[in-house]
Amino acid sequence: MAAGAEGMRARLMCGIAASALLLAPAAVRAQMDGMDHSAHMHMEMSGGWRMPPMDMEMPMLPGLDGVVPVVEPFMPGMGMDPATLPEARPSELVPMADGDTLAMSVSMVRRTINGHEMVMFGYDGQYPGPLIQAPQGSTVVVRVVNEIQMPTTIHWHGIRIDNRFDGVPGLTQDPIGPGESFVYEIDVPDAGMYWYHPHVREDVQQDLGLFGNLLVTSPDPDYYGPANREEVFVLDDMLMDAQGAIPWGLDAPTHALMGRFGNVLMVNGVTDHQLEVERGEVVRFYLTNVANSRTFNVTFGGAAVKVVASDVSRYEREQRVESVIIAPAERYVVDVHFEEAGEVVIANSIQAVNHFRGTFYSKVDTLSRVTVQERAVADDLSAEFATLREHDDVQAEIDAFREHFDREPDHHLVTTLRVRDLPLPIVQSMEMDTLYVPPIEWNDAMPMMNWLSTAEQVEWILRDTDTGAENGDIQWDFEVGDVVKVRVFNTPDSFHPMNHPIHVHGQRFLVLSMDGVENPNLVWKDTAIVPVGSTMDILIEMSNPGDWMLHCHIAEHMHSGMMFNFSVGG
Amino acid sequence: MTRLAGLFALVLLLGSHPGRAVAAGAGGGTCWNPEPPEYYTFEMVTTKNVPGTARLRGSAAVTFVHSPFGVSVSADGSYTYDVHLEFEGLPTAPRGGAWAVWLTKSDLSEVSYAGVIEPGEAFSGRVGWNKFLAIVTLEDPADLAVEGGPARWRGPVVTRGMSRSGMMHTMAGHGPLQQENCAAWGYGRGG
Ligand SMILES: [Cu+2]
Repeated sequence: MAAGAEGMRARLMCGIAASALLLAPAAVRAQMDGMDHSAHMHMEMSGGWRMPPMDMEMPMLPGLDGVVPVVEPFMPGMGMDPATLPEARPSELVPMADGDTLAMSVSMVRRTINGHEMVMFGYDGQYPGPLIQAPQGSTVVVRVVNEIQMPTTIHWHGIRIDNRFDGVPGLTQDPIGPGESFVYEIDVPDAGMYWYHPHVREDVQQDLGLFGNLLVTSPDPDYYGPANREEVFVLDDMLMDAQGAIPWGLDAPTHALMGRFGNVLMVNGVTDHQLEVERGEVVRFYLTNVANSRTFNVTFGGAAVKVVASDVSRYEREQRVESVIIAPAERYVVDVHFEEAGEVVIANSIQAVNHFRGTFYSKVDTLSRVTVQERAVADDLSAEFATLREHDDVQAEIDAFREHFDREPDHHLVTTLRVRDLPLPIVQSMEMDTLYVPPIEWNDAMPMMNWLSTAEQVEWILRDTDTGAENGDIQWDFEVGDVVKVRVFNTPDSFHPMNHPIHVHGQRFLVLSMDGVENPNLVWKDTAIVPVGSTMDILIEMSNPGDWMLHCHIAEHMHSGMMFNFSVGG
Repeated sequence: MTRLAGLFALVLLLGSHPGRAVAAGAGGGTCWNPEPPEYYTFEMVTTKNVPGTARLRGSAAVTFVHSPFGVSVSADGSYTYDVHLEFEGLPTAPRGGAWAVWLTKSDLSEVSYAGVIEPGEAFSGRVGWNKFLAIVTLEDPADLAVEGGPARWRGPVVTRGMSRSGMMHTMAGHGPLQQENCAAWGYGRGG
């Protein structure tokens, strides 16, 4: 971590307050050294570390038997009877008008995932949290009461919000301590689907259920074009074994190299999501990825798909796609036409990587089963679906920025990492690994190595190559009205390169090009993925004054240092 | 060989590659970024099997096909790439033959005829495989003129290169090409 004030801030964001220790198991680290697998079985009973599931045909590295992360394990509610907690309810729609107030708790709830009853967290006792709906241009008020034993905040992701309510502890507000409350006033200037989540130990709190959507509706009823119905899909994963969830790190995240990939995939918090539609229905899906690290490739069987919108706006032009690639924190709005009766499987369909065998292999996980009935839908929207709409208003808004497209970048960032004190077998294995790293890490191909790498040993880096400053030492100052071009290069030349979804708070940006190839269909974004080895040029409109963050949205990468702040004056 | 040392060797290899010079001042057909992403660029290595091609130098620049998502994969999750070939010193094909470009899976289980490349011109194709080979052969134009394109090459291989993803082979051998060492495909320390 960087020294000085920035380092303090980083520690504040990464650390769990002392009160959280009340819920943590006793330190068992010392007992674990040198233990074998049978000892792991014993540790399970004591609430300590147990190995992550190894389902990848990946042999365990010699020398790692019994090795556990250098941080202590953390399980919320350890020792509590889940039956004493209220069972969480599925997300409920909360339509709000300008000036309305919602009281929302952050509390412990009981949930059952994959047959395991667990103590988890919830916004207003729901999973996902309430679907807040607000008209574009309004201000809604959310009064948050923190009833969990950890400090928290809420970040209103993608909203060009008043800086005071951006939810970044140590930068825009003090963390909301246990028993405390905070009132967020949320201005919503842009129509679209947004989401909210904590900015304190995201790797733990978000994973445990603290996420929800905020739908900002346009006054134009034809904003997206017609659809027979709308569905909200929150994509998530959870790392579990036969005992339940694998613990999280107490003082720092585990899984710092690749992020905490889950092995149980969920839509809206359930593993058996189902839909029933009539034949011919056009269904609009609002997709949000709330996973810590996983990028999904969402397929819709043989049904026709067109992408309509992403994070902060519609596309210039609707476009047919075969699947939707969605990195952590991104949103996509897609229309899907279910023309044929029968079952359609919505799946995550990837070419997983087996580093040991040096192969890609197909992996398909069902996300949702759609039953398309024989009965035809009354309101046939086939013709409207077949039309790929162009949005003159989106293009006209972007036209004002085209003069900046071809100029040299104002800032250059490179992503890389430093490691220290990792177990020797991991270091040796990485040296033996091939010289090729896939552009996107679709799966956790090294579950043991990944689990053992904690934020104590791994520092992910955003480096300003013009000044040499890294992470919290980077200081960028802008004025409202500035249009800033940033070139981000994800260098493949590092200990373990990985894709990074880069997120900018409080502003919106355009992805101008990837690897020097111009992007022909633009959309306003707040998060965009940079594959390994690739260069992404983004153009940020500095429209919103205040102190803001830029960071990687893989929770474990951010908590391993991959972030900095910039100011927008005026 | 350590990972970093290997990468450093590659950077040297690619950084000094004459294909770059070709790219900057190429003739007709150049329609791609003059500075392709180094990480995905790979060298085309001559077999010296065809007279006049012993000193042939070339490179394949690879970019993601455009998609609205920043990276492009097919429904099964395979990457989809645009592949751009350029050569320095590609002579006129002997005996009225043609230089045919093929893209294949790295285990040769699927072969796709991509077209003919002319001396002094760049060539672009598209591929939907994670690991692939680019191959140029010397063919009889009559063999290329079949309905739907030829299924497989008949003539000698002139030059070939392996996508960077083909480097993902440590610990499990080199697959069907293990008779040749990495260096023969443009990989390895000092080529
Ligand atoms: Cu990252």
